[in-house]
Amino acid sequence: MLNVKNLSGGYGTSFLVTRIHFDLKPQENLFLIGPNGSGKTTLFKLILGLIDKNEGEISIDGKILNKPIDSAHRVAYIPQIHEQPFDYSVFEMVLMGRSSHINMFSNASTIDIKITENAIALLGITHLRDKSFNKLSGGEMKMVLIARSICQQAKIIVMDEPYANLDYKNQAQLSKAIHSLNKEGFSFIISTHNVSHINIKSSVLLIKNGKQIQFGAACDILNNDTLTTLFETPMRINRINSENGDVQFVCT
Amino acid sequence: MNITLRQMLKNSKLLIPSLLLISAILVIVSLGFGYYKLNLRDVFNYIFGTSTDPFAKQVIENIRLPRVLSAFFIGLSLSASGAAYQGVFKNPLVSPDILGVASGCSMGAALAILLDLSYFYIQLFSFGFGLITVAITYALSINIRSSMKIAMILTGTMIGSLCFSIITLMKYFADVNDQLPEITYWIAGSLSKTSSTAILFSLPFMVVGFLILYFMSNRINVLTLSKDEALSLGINVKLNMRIVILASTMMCSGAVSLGGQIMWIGLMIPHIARGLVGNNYRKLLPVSALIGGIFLLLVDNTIRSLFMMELPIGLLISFIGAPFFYMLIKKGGLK
Repeated sequence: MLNVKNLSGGYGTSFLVTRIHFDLKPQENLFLIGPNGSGKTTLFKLILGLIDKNEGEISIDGKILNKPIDSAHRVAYIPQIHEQPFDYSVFEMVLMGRSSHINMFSNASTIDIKITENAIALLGITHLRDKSFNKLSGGEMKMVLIARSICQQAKIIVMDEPYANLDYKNQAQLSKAIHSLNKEGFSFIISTHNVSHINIKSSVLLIKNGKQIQFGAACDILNNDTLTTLFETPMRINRINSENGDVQFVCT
Repeated sequence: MNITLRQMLKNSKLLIPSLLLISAILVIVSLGFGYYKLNLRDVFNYIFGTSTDPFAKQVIENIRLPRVLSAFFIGLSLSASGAAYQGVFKNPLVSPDILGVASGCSMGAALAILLDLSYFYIQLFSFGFGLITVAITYALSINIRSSMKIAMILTGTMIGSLCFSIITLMKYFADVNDQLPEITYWIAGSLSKTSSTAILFSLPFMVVGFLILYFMSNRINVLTLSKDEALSLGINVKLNMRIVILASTMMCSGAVSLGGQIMWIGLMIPHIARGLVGNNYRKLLPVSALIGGIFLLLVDNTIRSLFMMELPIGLLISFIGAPFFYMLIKKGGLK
């Protein structure tokens, strides 16, 4: 579905990523792993079309993306949580996902409102519908933003460090939501430092100093040597069988 | 209790119609206030064209109606444009003067007064200079390599204070007997010179500006999010921001060229409206606009009926606005 070929770009000279190469299939997830300042966010912004690329090509289902407007219907973005200067209700936040489908001078149609309600229901956050966004917990905010991405009708959802600042329960809930949305046909690109969130069936892209170190299936790539070199810290990675029969990574 | 009342107002479909009704009643009742006493019957007689008193008719037509409508629409425009500016600059502390609009308008007016031009040109200069000031602010800020929003606020403040220095310089050259008081009075904000031609000049800009903002309210909501979020939602941030700024500036310049610098309203009223209906601009804009119109009209009525002499309305509003602002900061309602 998503194809990234030889992608280079960034702002200035310090935040550059060079020659990134990967692809993402429907219903699969890609985890982006790298130390702080390795270019993960820059790569996200390139994929979303928020900054111009110097070289390379991003295409989805064979269609090359050039403008942010092109990307909006295909790729959605969930930034790290921050408080908004102006607070909105959950429903209003999710409805904003429809923006690219609504004409500049128009109001939301009944179809837009129905799609919004469906997205809220799909994420199981109907009870939060009228709550104010800024008062939600970090985990709930993620759910709302995922609902907004679904409203946007993007099949690929890019999440910047979604597990940061979440407690174990919320982390588990987020993983569950991602897993069930995979079945609905959505794919996620997720940056993280913590390998325990990585499902064995996912693909992994290791990035350091703006350069791609490795890309491939998680089970092939994640081992003691690669992680130790990547983070410049001795690391040991184990595989354990989780309750639902999946294999999970544990890092020590 | 507080929260339930707020929830009720937020979800109520009746709030905007009731504010409209209050506005209409207030406009009619206000025609009766002033030095020359008119009772409601005179006003209704005028409205239904059955007036027998030619003097009452003249007072209403030439003095009261332009003044009452000016007060209402100036309050409306400053409040709505204030709310819109706050949204695009993602800052609830922003007021309509943030880009130097009001200072530019005042400078234009002062220049026209200094050149001994007629009232029409004072208004025209004022309006034109307001637009030019914002255009200059915008042009200068796009060359700055930092966030657009901070660049514009900083350049706006710079241009605003530059305009103010120029006005002070003009005051030195102004004729002490008639020009200087006029400039001073104009800057203080006053509704005493509003005429039907003056309001007819400003009204189209105010109305068109408001309609643009209202129909774009969904986009203004998205513009209050971070730039990356707004872009990734598929919004042309630059274009949308430009249109909102242009429409707000049209409204604000229209208001200031009509009534001079009336400060605080554009900061105070949107904040009250946010407390009532939340931040969704679809509701916030009309509610803010109507409350602003009602508020300024009430203040003007108070002045006209309490004082025998003509006090600049801008001064009175500052007396209300400054303590209000302190309360806002103290309450910590601002981030």
